[in-house]
Amino acid sequence: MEKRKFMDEPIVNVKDLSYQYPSGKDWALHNVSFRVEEGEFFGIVGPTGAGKTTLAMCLRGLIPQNFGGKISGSIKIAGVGTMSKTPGELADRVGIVFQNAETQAIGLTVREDLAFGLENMKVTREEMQKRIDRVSKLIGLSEFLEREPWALSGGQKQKLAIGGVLAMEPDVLILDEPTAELDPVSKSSIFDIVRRLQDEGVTIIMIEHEVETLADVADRILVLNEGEIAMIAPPDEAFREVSLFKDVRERVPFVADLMSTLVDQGAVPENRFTSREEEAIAVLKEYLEGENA
Amino acid sequence: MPEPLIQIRDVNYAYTKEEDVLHDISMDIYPGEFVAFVGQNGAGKTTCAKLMNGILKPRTGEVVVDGQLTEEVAASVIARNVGYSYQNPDHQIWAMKVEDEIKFGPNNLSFSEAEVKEQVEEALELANLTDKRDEYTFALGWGERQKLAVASILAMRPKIIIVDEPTTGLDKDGSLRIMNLLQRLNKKGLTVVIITHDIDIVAAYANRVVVFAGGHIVRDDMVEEVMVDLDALEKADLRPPQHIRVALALKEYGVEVEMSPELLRENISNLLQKA
Amino acid sequence: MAGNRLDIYVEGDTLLHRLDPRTKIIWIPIGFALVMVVNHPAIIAAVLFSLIALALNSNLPKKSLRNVLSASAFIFFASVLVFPIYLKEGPVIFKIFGITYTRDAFLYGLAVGMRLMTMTTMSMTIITTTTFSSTILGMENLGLPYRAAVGASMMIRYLPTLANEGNTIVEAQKSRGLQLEKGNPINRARKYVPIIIPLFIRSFLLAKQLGLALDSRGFGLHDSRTHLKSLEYRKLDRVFLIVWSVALILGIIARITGYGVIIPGLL
Repeated sequence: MEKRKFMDEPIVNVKDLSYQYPSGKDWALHNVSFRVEEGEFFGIVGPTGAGKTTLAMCLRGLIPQNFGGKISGSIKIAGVGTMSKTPGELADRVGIVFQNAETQAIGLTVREDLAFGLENMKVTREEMQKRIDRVSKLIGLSEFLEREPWALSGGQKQKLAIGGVLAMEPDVLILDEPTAELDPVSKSSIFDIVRRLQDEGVTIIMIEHEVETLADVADRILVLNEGEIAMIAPPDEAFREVSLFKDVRERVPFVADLMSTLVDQGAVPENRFTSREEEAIAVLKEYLEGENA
Repeated sequence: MPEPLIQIRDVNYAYTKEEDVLHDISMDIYPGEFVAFVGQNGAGKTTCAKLMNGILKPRTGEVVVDGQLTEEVAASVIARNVGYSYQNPDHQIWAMKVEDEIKFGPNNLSFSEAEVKEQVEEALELANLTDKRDEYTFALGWGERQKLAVASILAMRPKIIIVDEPTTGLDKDGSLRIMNLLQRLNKKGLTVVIITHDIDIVAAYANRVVVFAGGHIVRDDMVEEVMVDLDALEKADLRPPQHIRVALALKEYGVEVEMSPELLRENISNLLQKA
Repeated sequence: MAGNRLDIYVEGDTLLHRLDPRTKIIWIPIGFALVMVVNHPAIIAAVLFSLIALALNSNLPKKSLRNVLSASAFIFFASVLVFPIYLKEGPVIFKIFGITYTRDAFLYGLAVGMRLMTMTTMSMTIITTTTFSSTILGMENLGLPYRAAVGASMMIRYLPTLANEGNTIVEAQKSRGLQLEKGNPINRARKYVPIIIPLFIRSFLLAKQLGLALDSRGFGLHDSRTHLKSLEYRKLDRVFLIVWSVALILGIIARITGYGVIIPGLL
């Protein structure tokens, strides 16, 4: 996949973003500023109503284009300001996968659906076939190309949604709680695909409640609350602040809560804190063994 | 030993003439239980639930609710005993105002006006929606619509309520609110069955877990037993919640498995403080 | 939905399957015009039989063909019996129940009846040999604006989704004691309100989400789009259309010269 190198600029650059829905009384987003580096896995967490989906729509150029309302500040994706472009014009720079897999399946077959975005972008037939081939293998649906979307399972539909967006080869992929409506097996296969994309160097912004998974894969996590940024930090730093998460009313992984307590009590030193399950188990084994010795 | 509310005996079910979706399922649900149905999509948990309120009738075998065969009664009549709250509250909500929505269920059953009024009041209170009784249903947030859907079923005073995916789409607070509501109701005597993918709430709230895989029940037991039965869970492509996985990994060091993450944390903390 | 497909397309590699969808789209008005321009039963019968032959050749399940023909049979018989009541041209063949049946009126009835059978058989064979996708592609190629084409495929794509939503809503409300079968017609109609309102609202919501998905996939970015599938006219298409166009021209000539009509002056 052709990659544009943004050596000097972060691939996502948000400055003082504020937004108010047309019918809203409050600011859905207030002075939000952050940057995402190319290839980063950037997680976004926060309670319902914090503005996560609003933020995702702004990044994708659907707000204010499709929603109206008042917006100020700037968003630059791959060097291009989003607010002055239509969502279609931004399609090869940023893509979004929504929570509901059903309403993202547009084509009458899997193949047609993967082609849809490319047809709209007037990609040539040869290029289309190449991309469809590559993407269908990546999402694991290469055997299902003639299947109709309604015959797919929820997980397969969501994979198709990811495929349809990837085919347009955006620099940044936004996923808004893609697994919320899926069963555990489908959840993990979606996370597998996302991890594979991370390995390929795709910049990923993922809104998730599955904090355990984010602790494992995210490079940094943004905590959003009431339209404002509460914190941006790598998972270990972020999840160390258990009381902040409590205030913001969002979950932390159990091991983060546990390790935090242990560090605060002095049972484990600060530098051994971790929010990852495997690491935590290893650390605990060490210290529990010490106890038994 | 009290009579079971629902008995399922050797039931098979298929949606089409081709494959059976449920194979030889048997189970009894007793009053006062808080049961969780877990398993992948298509494993049969929702099908089983719909057999329990008569929306589906068994192909072979029988389902008995409160002493009556479901095959002989319409689902709308079984609703008197078995309440079913669908996964998406928007599939149920149709009235303009909250109070009217809650009135719908009991009005369909043969309650007197006075009874309906009382039941609606109680449902509003239980779900903490009393001060929202005059609000427009469609102006409510997702979590509140979820509560409204459950309240609408409660107003029918069923003996048992089945809730399909109570916490989908809800954040930590929203999940707590709905699960605490169900817990309060269960303590007051309402039998609760939840169908869920959220293994964390299963450990925190259920006392019995039925694990479905490929149309079979692979384990039906107390939550403490099922949460550590890695084989059964694996057959259903499930894992225990993180805190139980951690406890199991540390068992040899004296850590005991707890259904509650808080207790487990205390447990480990105490172990490490013995120095 | 029946089988694995959304439409009633039947797989195959028959003549009709190999035709370009545009050919079949253009064929419809030609074929319909042909059976409308003449009213002589012999000519229409010839057209009908060639269509039946095409239908049998095209993998159409015999049962479906029989269903289509028997469905139109009712109108066929009605036509044969009713027209002679009003038309009295030609020699009398017999009298029954005080109605005189003349030869020409009877033949006219036959012709009109067969017309309908021809048109339904034609539609049926086209529908079973052409996928929705190719039909829409064909229409877009013939000039249908690309946004309308996408709109049409959206409607088709979402039919089963909306049907599912409807079913779920019915189940959910039944589980709340709603009894749809009881009561007089007016009461029963009212009972559908708790089903129609959520269905409407859900459809609205799904449409909104769909709109966002479409925009995110670049819908409307340009005034037209490229296509994954290509369409090509082949010799088969040209020959097919020429044959039917010639038949139509002959039909018109037959009408003008009077050979193609059993009762001139009537459609």
